[in-house]
Amino acid sequence: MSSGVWILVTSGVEHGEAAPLDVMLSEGVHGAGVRHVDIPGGGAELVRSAAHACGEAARILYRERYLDRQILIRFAVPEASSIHGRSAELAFALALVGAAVDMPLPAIAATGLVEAGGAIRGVDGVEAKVEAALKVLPRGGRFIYPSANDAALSPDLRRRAAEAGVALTPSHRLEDLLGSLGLAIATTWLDEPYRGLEPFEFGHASIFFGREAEVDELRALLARRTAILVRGPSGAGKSSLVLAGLLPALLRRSSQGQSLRWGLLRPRDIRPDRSPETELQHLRATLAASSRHGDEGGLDAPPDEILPDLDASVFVERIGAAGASEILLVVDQLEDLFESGLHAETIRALGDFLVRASARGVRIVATMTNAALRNLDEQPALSDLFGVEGVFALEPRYDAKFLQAVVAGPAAAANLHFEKGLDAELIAAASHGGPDVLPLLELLLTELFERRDQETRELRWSDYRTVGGLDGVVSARAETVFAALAAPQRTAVPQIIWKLATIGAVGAQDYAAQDPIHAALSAFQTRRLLVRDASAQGARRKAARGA
Amino acid sequence: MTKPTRLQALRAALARLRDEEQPPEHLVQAAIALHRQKPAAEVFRLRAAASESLWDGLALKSQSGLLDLDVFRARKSAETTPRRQFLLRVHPDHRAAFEGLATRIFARTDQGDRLLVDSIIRDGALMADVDLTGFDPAHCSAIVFVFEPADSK
Repeated sequence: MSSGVWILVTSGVEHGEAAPLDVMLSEGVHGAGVRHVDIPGGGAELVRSAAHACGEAARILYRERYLDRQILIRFAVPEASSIHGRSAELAFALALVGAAVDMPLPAIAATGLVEAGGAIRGVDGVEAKVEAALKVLPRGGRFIYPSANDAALSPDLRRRAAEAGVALTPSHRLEDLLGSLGLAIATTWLDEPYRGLEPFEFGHASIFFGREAEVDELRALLARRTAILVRGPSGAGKSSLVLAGLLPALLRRSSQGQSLRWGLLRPRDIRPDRSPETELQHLRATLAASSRHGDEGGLDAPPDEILPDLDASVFVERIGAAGASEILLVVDQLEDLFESGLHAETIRALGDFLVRASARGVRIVATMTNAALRNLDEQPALSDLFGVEGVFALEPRYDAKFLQAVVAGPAAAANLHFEKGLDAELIAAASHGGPDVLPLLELLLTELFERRDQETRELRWSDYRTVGGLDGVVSARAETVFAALAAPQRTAVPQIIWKLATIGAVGAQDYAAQDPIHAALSAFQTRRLLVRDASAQGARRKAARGA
Repeated sequence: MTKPTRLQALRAALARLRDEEQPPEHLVQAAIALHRQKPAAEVFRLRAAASESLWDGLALKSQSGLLDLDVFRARKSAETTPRRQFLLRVHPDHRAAFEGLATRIFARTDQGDRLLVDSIIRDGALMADVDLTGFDPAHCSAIVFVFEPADSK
């Protein structure tokens, strides 16, 4: 049975051919699993590659209920033995999708690697593959390829594809691609929809609401400036705005986003050392690791291939070679650069690096608390980098419109419902709470979510009253944690409170491994009343904002 | 146990040297025969059934636990199409013992045995299209597997 999908193969990178891919999908017993992938004539490497790609596609198909039985897949492709490498993975995945769904898909020619998790990675010879695809695709067909290769397509090829009625579809995630092909991909957020006292990370974009206007302003500012600094009081949501608001918007809602690669540098991850040289090495390692992450827009290259030293031009060159036409570096919580006990050399080195990287076209987006801004006075180059126009002041918001988005947005994303009038009560109560109310509201929503009616997915009035609303949620949560602690762990709680009240943090490394304080800290952290602080090892915990 | 004399120790050492360099022919033959011996007959038991109609989706496991047999049906084939796909998989720890063995799968019925599959296990698995035309699975009393070295057929 023809799948309507063509595999694109090249000999070298200049000569491309399209091979029709036939697929037979068979179903066995109920359950999820790709039991076997067969490609008669194909080598073990090709079968492994197809099985991997089908596994990724099947994961989505099972989740979305397009499949509910174990499957066996048999592909047939001419001269399978001559196909090498992994560039056919996207075609295998799409052929399986075509066989599994009961809806017409367009004729497709596809090339691309499918990574674990569904990211689509770049391949070689894309221009030759477009040429080959245009020979076989009918009008209305689609050439689907990795976003990372988008810059490789010449204007002439784009024009010819348009004339032939073939849509060029760059893609960076399998799930998004299937959605664009018309599959109903649920947007239900399956994890906890409220963040409690934790900030939002990039992966929380689907539950980040209320800052749409600020995201648009930041995008506009970034179009004019290569470096911007988002400043605001502690807890205003600066990191969340950049990571869960700005970055997804840049990646998903702009044409430049297709080949944007971004990195996240947190100065607190730079390990202080007595020796300035060793500390500089730690800075290099942290910088090198910044662009290597599994999120959309991350790099696959190992860190030592990205940055052998603090040479910004090498940094740009290496990341560019890995498929980026635009590079963005987020420097989150820049205040930690000045407050982590780092040597002046390290601070200066990072500042110089950012200035030079910016001069070479790397976009810099930093966040910093208002209280730490004075530190920039001692770093004039860094201060000039952002200038006056490049500083974006983020104000805490607690207006009803914003609170409505914060309360209702994640609930809708997670298919939750509020008992009648509860959402209005939450918004009304929070709108009188002043600029620091947001963390408490998030914590209250988290508590209500954890106590929800599992069957109806409803957040309830009775739970709201039990925890005592915004005023009572912290103590209600703390008491729940305390009640669940064993007797020896309870004895550690006064120490924790004393440390938090005096020095503001508890260093776990100060206590022996068997000390019950570790279990107590962990329990409070699990319930998000304490958050990890400073080092990447999480050895230090401080009270979550608002707690 | 008394300590062997120097002469006994020397004799034993010479014998071991001879056996290792040129093992006795009867031992070599016995080893080959053991290697080529067919694995013991396997009895399969039903592990799961996915539908009301037999053979649509079946998963069976042999009594030894070494073999799994799954029966699949093409998703978009007509309801009446009597073709199924059989997938036999060998436990990963025992792949070597079954690799390359010619495998015949029979269905035992009132009318005698019917050959369903005749193929070879490769990479720990065997996949075959099976034509069930005229076959009533309700009358099948057993599934019989016969393994033998491929070159002996």
